[in-house]
Amino acid sequence: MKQFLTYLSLIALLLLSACHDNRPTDPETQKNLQVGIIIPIEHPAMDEITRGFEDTLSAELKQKVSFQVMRAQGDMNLQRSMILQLQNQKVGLFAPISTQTTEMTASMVHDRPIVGVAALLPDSVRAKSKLALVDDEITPTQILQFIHAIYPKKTQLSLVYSNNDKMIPQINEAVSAGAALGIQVEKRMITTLPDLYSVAQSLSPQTEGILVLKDVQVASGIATLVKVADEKHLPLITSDDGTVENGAGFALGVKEYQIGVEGAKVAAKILQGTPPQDIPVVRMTNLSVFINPTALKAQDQDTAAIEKEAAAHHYKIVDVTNKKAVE
Amino acid sequence: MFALLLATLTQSLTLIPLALGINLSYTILRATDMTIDGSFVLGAGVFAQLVTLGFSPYLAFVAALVCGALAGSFTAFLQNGGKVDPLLAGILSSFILYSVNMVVMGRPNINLLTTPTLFSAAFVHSSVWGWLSVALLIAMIVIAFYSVLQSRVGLSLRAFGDNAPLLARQGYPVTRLRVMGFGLNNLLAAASGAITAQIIGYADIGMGVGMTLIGIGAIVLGQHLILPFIHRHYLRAGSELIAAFVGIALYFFILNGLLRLNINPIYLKLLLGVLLALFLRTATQKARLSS
Repeated sequence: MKQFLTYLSLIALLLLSACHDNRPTDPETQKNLQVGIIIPIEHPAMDEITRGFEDTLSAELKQKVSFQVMRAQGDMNLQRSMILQLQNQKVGLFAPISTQTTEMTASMVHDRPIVGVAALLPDSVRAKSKLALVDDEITPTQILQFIHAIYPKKTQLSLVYSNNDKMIPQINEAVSAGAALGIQVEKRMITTLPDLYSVAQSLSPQTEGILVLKDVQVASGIATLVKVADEKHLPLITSDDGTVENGAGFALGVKEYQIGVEGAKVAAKILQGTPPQDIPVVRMTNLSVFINPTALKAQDQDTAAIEKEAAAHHYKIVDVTNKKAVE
Repeated sequence: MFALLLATLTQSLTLIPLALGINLSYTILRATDMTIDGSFVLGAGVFAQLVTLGFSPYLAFVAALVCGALAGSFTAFLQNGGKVDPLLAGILSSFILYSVNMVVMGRPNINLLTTPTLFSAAFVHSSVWGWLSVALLIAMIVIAFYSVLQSRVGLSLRAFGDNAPLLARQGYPVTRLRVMGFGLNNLLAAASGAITAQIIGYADIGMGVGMTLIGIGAIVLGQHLILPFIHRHYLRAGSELIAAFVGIALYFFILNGLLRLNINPIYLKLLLGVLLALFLRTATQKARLSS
């Protein structure tokens, strides 16, 4: 009897949830345009992109917009459920963040426009779906040229990266670009975050700096690399502001918020009638150099030399310790 | 309600072979085979790599199944002679498969959005045709698996799980049975991986994480719901299969239901775990009372 009652109550709970209509009940919200944002994993960078997207799209459109933000917590099945749910909620536009999330959305959604933010897929995929893309990557060549301008005598760098799909072509490009500049790029891959400690401890004794491209997994464990960089007085060079705030010396990159802004501009164009396929892939051009003077001092590096080269390249300089542009 | 049922059905469908594989290892062979986390990705990876290289999707699918079976056979090989504990052997295989999968795929993610697959033509025609073709393939796998379970080999596998030492003393080829059992369950996991990759549009090195645990949880749930009502022994194999279907469908029904209640995804696994624990607790109490 007890078992029967427990089953009954659980099934009742499930039926209750099944009958629950999770579409907004407020009539005002129902009139609004619905935009579904899918975040693959919990990370401050994702929150910044989302904030930039929401702020800009609300400002760009005359119509009121409601955002359905779904966080998949790194679970493929959950992410699939969320996309299905957004489909049923009749959202007008999908904004998946990251390449993998965009791939899944493009595979499942064919009748509504998609803006893949911080994502890059082949043109053949775009031709088959209503997909526009905002690529957030800066080319490794640009980063290595900037490093070479600051440190013309350096000949060996250690490049730490995870086995993320976006990383592989970038790593190859970094090695080639380094070779062209006379810099030997030592590749150090991690498959899981705990690998980072071993990798950090086993860098070549000849290395003259540690380089990290835009990589969420390595960024999560940046403290491990900061410790090694401080101990060995090596510059820790990254590609996003968050890692510099957490102890890296400097980075050439774009603000995560700005990626969301660019995504929202594309979304606004689509919602105003431009077919997604007609919008070229948006690439980030407004580059900044994020510096952390305290960290640079601990790594025994010259802040002035970095600022001088940043100014020469017309990059905006952002001191992350006081959060304002110094130039 | 219809949307929820449809979401549950489409999500469960692709994981039915995985549920059958886990049912084989967990219920019949009485072993928790963690290899499945790796062989799920291996199936997806082999399929994606071969179709990307221009091979026929049918050939790629068969190759994915063969590779899954080989992965399972390797786990059985580690166990043979009692050298490595089944759980540890599975964990070791899964660990090794991470590197194998990277080598097979050549990169962590292979995009299948523009590559011809087993179902791409049907999905171009319409979603209904697409899902019907998926259901047809799943039905063929289920019928083949059920036939194996009902055959002499299936009965031997069940006897192996019940009492392997006794079987060995009676002169049965226990080593071969272990290889067959683990090979078959990983073949099914690889089939599920290959089908999932075609539906979600990519194969990814991280897509197998937690699949074994989801499968075991779903199967336990299904068995505690279905098996108490089945008392005839000759219905055992069929009822176990139905329990696996019900379990996996219930898992996705609960997952989608909780999402519809707008529950923060951070708490989803906690809630799913608590629900599972409630089911298990009532079932254990019933078993105690009847004994």
